[in-house]
Amino acid sequence: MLPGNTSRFLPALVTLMCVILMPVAGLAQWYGPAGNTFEYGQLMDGRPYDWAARTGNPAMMRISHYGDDLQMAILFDDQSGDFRRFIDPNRHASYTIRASGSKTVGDRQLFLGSFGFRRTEYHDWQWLSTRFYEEAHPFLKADSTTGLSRYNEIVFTGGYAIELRPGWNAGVSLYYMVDEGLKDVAPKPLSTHRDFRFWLGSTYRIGSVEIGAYGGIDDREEELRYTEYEGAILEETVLINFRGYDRPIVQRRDRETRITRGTAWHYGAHGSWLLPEGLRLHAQYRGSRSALDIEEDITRPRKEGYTSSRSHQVESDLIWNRGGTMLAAGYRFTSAERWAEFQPFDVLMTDASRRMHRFVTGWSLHVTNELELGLEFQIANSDQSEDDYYSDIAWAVDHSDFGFRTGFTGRFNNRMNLTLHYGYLNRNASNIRLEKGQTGRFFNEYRRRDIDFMLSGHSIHEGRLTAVIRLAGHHELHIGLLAQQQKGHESEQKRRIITSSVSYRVPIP
Amino acid sequence: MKPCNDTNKNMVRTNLLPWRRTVVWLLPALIVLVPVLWIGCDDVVSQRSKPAFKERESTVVLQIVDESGTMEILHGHSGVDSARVQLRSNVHGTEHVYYSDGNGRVEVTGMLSDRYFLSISRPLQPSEVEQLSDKADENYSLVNRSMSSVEIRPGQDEPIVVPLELIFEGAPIVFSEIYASGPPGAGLYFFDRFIEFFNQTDSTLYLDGLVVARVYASAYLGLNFIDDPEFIHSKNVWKFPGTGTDYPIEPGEFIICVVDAIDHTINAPASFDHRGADFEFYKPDAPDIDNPNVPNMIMIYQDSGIDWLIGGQADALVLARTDTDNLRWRDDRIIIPYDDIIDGVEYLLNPTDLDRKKLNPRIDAGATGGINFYTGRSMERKVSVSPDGVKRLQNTNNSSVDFRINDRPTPQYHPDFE
Repeated sequence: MLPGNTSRFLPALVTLMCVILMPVAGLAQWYGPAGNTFEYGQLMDGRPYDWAARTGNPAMMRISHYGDDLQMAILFDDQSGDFRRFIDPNRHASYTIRASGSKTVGDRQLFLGSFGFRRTEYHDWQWLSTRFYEEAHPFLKADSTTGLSRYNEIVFTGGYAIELRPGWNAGVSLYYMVDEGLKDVAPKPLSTHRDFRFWLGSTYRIGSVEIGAYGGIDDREEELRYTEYEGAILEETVLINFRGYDRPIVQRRDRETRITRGTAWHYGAHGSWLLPEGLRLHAQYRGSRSALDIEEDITRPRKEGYTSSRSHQVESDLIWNRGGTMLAAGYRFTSAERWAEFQPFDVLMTDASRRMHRFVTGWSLHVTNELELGLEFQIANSDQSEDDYYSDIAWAVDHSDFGFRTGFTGRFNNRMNLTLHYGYLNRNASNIRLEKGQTGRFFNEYRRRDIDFMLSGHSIHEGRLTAVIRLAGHHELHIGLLAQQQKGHESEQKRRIITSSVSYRVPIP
Repeated sequence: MKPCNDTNKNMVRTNLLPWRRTVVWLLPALIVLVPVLWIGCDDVVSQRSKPAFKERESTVVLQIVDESGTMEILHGHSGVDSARVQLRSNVHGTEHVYYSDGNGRVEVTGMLSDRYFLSISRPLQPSEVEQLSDKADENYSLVNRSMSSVEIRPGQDEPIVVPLELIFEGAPIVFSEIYASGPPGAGLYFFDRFIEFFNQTDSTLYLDGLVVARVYASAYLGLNFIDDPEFIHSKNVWKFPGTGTDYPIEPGEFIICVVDAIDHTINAPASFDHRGADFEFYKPDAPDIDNPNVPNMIMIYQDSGIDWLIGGQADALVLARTDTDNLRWRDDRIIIPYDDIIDGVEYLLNPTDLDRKKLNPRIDAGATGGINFYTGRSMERKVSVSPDGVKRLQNTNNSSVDFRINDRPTPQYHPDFE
């Protein structure tokens, strides 16, 4: 009996080991507007609800894989408008070219990889070329010039998954990104950024139950450099160092370097139960811890700040799927907290927390073989607060969200799938608290706008079109277009987002 | 039974084999991979614990004590009462003023963490001086010379003891303004620089023979004489003309010494017309401009340059009364005793970075500055008002707190003296 037990539980033990050994990546979205992230939307793209992809576990790559292929994609993203924070650019545009491929070797091994190049432009952006302006808050840096910043970014990804035994999968994924950013106007600060991620995971199926666990680490580094720019020798560079929302430190320097190093640990576990009568139950936990260490002056380095974040997410979904009809209900809970330390004096600068409960329901129906309809609703309630001890400012707000999305997918002559969606989300703010103590004179000029943004409600309208055109030889052309408009309730300011993509897919026999 | 056992063992072995293969494959992979990744992530940021103290939660007690024994004689204890305590943060650009209580205690609360420049002054009343020396005199003060900065942050439970020394505050002539950055919008033009002096006393004084010297240090050669116990070192020494009473400076008068006494607005519209300057630095061994209507400073020694030259962003200057006929040398530098120095000022590009100072704290405990080239800004001494309402320029021998930055220089006047 012992060997039998061992063979049954060893995969689970190895799965657990992955968590212990590799406890990171996506921090909770702290400040961005709540988007139309409907949970069961992928159903309407012609694929079943992709639980495997939602887990983020690299061992699930084999399960979510839909066939070997080569793809070439071009993506364009454009955002502009005044409904934004101070730390956001007025206009943001990015262009991406990406080549990717996947190949199954034998029946058990899957290789995936991609290479991409992205050019991003930030127009009228007062900030330096940092990618850490969410996580590094409040230790942010700006300069006195507003202009165009450009980034050139190269991304490599790789993944490998293997079925070690029937029902037991393991997988690893790698992500490597480097970029260089340059602000076009004097003093032309330069930034270099490097991200490396490694994830490891395992899953095991016991009868109708599939469990999995994973862990991962992020290692990131960024260097911002101000040098004495020859073309602007007669201009004075004014650097603004923030340590909170208020009281920025104004420095008149030609040369400055800021080095930011970050580490994040991710871990998670999930389970999926196939129940009778077409029912399936999913549950998962995701956690992360991350830390950022900020130093200034490369010749005489001195510590500036340290930030620490933690987040926990619990999700569960119950899905019923039978005879072309799908009904789903889900609950999500997110909890995140973070704090920032001014290292030279070992004092706490900010303390922030956020909790969110969200309920989602979805329904879809195959009216005919050529037509599928779908409808989803979500309600959410969240509370968010931050104490900025440095600026003597405290704020808190509760948000309640309501949203829906509806649309259809039609199939035409086996040559084309066309999907049209419309989504709406409304966020109301309540229990608003803003306490100001010994604030300085800059409060109204800079980051006051960021606080106002977070304390406001807004609405989002979204339209989406997806077309899949099947060509000869099973080649496919995918076209996607998303248009979104955000509007603040109080300010009535708007922001427009357009995302479009074209990809060409060649299946590998 | 035996064959049966063998069969079971074979079954077990058959079941285990794939596991062994897996473990044999997986464990070495993990053992290799984890350290490689760990090393590859060259700077894994350590997880620090949350700080115990919040910013601004500080309550710091400064205990002001007199080390000269004066207060002990006058009041029977060393605590200094009614001392004016000025804390200045160059990082935050803030100033805070407190007064000590009867025991010499000052309680500072709710301030942002920083190393603050500290300037403490307790002028002795003439009646107090009379008790000490049988002669009423108002130029004696207790000041903090040995401790020019203090760290304010939460979590400091013990009082910070600040010792004061008794000094004679009789610097009769002081640097009142230094303009060295050059004007904006005129290329690399910087010949409109000037230094300004002010007569602090109630009497007419004479500038004849006074020396203006630039303190020497070389980061390139690794030379810095800040710790010299007796002398400042200089390779740039000029003196005022006159034989004794030729160039008076009246009480409350400002005089300026300029690089070139010409109308600089012709070359730099944002500059000044210096034709009415009091003195001009004219370097006779170089193709320098000389305005014959303005008296020339006399160059004693300057090892390089075509004109009088001071640092645009950082430098240290002293005004001294020394015997120029019997100058003392050390290598290629003139040395001037600290005792001969009337006033001294240091300015730095980053005035918080006192590690870069070159002027002994006995002359100037701090530094002013923070001005970039070609910004048209100047450094000007602040005005202090005595309890009886008399205005003077602040001179606590700490430029970090004595000076302020002007966006527009004010040659030959001070806006707060209007």
